[in-house]
Amino acid sequence: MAGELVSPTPALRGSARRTAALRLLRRRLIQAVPLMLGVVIINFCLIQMAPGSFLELMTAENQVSDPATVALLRKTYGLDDPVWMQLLKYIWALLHFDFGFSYRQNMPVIQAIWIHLPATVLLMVSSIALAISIGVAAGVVASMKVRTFWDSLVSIAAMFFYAAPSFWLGIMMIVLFSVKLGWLPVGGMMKIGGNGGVLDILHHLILPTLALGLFYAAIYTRVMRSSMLEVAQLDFVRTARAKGLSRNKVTIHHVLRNALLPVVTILGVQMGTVLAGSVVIESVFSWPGVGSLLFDSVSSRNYPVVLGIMVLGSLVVIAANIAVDLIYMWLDPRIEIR
Amino acid sequence: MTIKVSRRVFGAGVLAVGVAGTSRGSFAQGTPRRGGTLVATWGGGEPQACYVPAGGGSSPTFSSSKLFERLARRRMDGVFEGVLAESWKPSADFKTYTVKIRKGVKFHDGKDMTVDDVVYSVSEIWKKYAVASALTDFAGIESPDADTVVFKYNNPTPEFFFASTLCSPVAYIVPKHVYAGSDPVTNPANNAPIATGPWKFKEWVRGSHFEYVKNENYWKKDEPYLDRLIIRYVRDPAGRAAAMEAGDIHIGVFNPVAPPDIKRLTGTGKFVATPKGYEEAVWSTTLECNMRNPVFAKREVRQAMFHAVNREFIAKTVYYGYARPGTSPIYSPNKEFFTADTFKTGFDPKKAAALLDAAGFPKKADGKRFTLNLLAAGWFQENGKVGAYVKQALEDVGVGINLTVPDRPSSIKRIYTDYDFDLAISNQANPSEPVPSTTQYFTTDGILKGVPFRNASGYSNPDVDKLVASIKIETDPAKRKALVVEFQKVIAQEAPLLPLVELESITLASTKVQNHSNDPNFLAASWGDLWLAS
Amino acid sequence: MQRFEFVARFARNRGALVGACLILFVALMAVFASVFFPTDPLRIVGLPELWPGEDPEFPLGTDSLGRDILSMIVHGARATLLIGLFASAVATIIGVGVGATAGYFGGWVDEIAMRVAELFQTIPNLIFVLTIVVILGSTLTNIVIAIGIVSWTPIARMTRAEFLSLRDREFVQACRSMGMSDLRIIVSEILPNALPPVIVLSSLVVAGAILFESAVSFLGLGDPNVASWGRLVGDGRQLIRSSWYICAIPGIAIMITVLCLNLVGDGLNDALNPKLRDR
Repeated sequence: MAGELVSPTPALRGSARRTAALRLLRRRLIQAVPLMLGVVIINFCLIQMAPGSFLELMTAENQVSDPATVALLRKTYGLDDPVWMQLLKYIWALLHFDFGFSYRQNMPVIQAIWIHLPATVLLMVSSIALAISIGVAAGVVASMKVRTFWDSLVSIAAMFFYAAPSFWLGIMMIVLFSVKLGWLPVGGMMKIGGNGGVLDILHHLILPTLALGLFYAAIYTRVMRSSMLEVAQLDFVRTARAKGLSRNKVTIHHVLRNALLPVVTILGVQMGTVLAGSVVIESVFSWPGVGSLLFDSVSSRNYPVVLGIMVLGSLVVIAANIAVDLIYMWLDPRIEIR
Repeated sequence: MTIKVSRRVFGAGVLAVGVAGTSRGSFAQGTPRRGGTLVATWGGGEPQACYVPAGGGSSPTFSSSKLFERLARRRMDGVFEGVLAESWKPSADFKTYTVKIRKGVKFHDGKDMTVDDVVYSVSEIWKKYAVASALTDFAGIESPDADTVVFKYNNPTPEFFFASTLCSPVAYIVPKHVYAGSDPVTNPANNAPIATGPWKFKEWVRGSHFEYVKNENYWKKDEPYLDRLIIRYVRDPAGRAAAMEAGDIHIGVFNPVAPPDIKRLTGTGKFVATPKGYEEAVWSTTLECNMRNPVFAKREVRQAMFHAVNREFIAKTVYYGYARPGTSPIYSPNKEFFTADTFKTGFDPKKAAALLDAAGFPKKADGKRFTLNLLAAGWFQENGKVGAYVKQALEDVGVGINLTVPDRPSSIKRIYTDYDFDLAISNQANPSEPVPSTTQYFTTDGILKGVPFRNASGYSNPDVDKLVASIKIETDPAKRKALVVEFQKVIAQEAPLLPLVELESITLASTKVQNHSNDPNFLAASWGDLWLAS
Repeated sequence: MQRFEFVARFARNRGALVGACLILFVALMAVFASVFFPTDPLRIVGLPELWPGEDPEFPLGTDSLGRDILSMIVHGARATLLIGLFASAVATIIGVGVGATAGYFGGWVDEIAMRVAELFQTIPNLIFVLTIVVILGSTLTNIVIAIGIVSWTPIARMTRAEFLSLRDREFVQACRSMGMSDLRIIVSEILPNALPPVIVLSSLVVAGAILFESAVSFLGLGDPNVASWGRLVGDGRQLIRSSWYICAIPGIAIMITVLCLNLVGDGLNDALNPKLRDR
């Protein structure tokens, strides 16, 4: 997935680096094709295993009992085709960015997802930003004050947030900050009836971000701490220290940049779990994002939407991993990626 | 108020808070004030479309009933009143009804509503989707002149039944020029309806709200009083409570907040809570026995299931008192037809055990008589709790129970398509007219594989079928009532499906909101007469 | 001697020692649940929503129906640990199987195996679990399988890496030249040497599986016949204004168990792979 250290070649520069990056991009994109295909096939098969088609649900929900109408709907949704034909048709449609039609929302799947996307992106971005800033800061502090009170404090806090289920953390924060103290709203993305001003959204964003982000902050803290300690042992850092540079300067200029590499790697790997975690957090905070849509769709057997979210979610993960490789290259010019 | 809502201990306490300061419990005082925006919510989620021709449950009924209108409505005092119909009259043999249609009504797009729209709506939407099961005897509709339509039936049709059909929640008059030639189920207009009601569709922000604006050309002069109506969807009860407390939502129908919050909010004096406005849609939680399982062949075994269960406990603990034990397939707020004088299957575990012993199911070595699959439909959270309690209650009389709480789609499929249950906990909402909403759970022609909320127990009794058939065509109100009473007595004793509890639905409103809860199915009323006090 | 060293190294990590003791306690709770609380934990035994301490009979209070929370926590320990262990076992079996095959044979087998692993890493994990559980039904077995399916990839990668480094060692080549079958070499020669780091990972998968299960149950997709901690949190969610303890208590139980499993994992890591410390 992420780049592996091949050999410390001399730093690539300028156009050479750009072509290297482009070459990498192209290779990764080509590799992504069978991966996407696999994701689609796995999920398609999974959904085929479901007892009861979404058509049964739809007719039940709309109380359509007329056999002729049911037959017409079967035809509309292509359910009379053999399974492999349905799969081929689905893949063909995907190539045209057609994710199918969501009867429940009465609109194309892609549109239904699109409507819910901004809320989820906002939540994910703020949670990741929170996780990285807390994680990096706490990790740096712990590593610079290694084996002191501060180090222990950071480690214990990280252990704690790493073990607490995010949904539970969210509910406990609602109890404290919303019910008892009344400082923050219990849920939703904006004040009801409000026009969604920036401050209002930020106000609603605080708790979900904490609930989702603290778990990842704990991971990044631990990774950052050990990575800082590891890098500090490397030769070039020792050399820098030997040249008489101050400890803080060395830490910031030399250690930090290199120590960030593992954080970036797991960030890419975890993009999918952040997205998945948002399903639970969105449910706790009534956050109107893709997670809510997914949960509704799963529980109403709205398979076209479920499949669409899975495919898009996997796309996000693949894209994140490619981005990680590129960032990697930028952070550490010595690295050439296989 | 001539309809007396039966309120038990708990509800009465809540209502006492609610009624304070309002005149005669109608939640209205003084002359209506014009203007303002009312924000409303309800205790469920966003609908699949603003209008679902086949009904689609309470959610689309709530959103569409502000835009569309029916031919008639029932008032709180029980009197039927014309809406888009001016009057109706049966023929001497009760096989045809002549309906005068209101003149000067315009659709929101400016086109006149005509008898053609009525004929189209009845024959293409009502008969095929909306009220199909109430129109089994329907023979056709004609329009002899520009303001009359004639409904024809194959058999005599009671007036109460006919009027109730006109009042059915989704028996709307839709614009023919929008729907003709299309598939009504997927017509895009269902997401942005064009209708005749006091409110005009303006916008649907998915995941958030509908915005409706005043219909300036509404046929009822003066209405609507408000300028704007927002229907806001909030996913969880706690969020609704917070929004109402903050003044962002003025009214919530159908149990918008959790019971403890009802007390808290009405305690502030800024809110009223009322169980009124649900008389024509009384919900219940039911227990049904699958007759396909031979253990239920004897009715004593079915009765034993009900004797084992403490319905008071369910009402008090699971529903926090917002429920009362059910006794009959017709519910107690039903002034026309309900009788309390039926066979009683009250809480009596000893009797349950004795009945099971006598039926040939003694306890075996493992302490169990037999084991059943109990399915609690997961569409309401409370059903799972009722299921957990019923499991325990039945285990106490020696019936082994495997409990499952599938989500909505699986529950619908397992109960109504696969009949994959021995006992099921489900829900019903019934209007006053028992045919077909109530009776189709018990008649042989209600056994329709794959059609939800029908006879899933498989109960088939020629006597009941005959009884229901005569209820359907009996045009003398007194004789008809006697037949319905007979029906209740038979079913209460036969016990294939009975309500465990009748649910008391609650509307919570700011004291500013005037004229609410003034319709026996307030959730599905047009809300043109609501106004906000300053 | 070797064993003593292992224990000593493990015990040097004080956190791991505390974690191991607490896990042992939870495990004892799970084993003897029926002795302490012989009645069905899902039985309604008292008034609903009794706060902890309000009635000495129910030290941790009762839930919204009047079920004893302490009894549910104790019985829940059994369900939670079993789900964690079985899910981890499923993940380990798949992971070791795939990883060993890939690492031992290399070439196109390795290529395919790693692509498949990548595929499973690409699908957002919890979303996949939820979909599997909803589609196949909310039973304990299905939940265990679903969690196993999303958790095996790190184990496979680790096993593969170990096999890659071991397969060309002299003792393996010796076995090959003796004509030993591939299966036998994999199972009886390489696997025992590759196992220690895999065990560490498996113990961490147990912790992850418990978190997955609690999330599934919290969302109401768990098995209704099982007293699961996650479901208890979900049930209490509507009552946070009046009775937030119903959410708080089972959440603490989940957190402590997961925390201890992580500590034990760290300790095992120290004890089994001294080289990999501080990773």
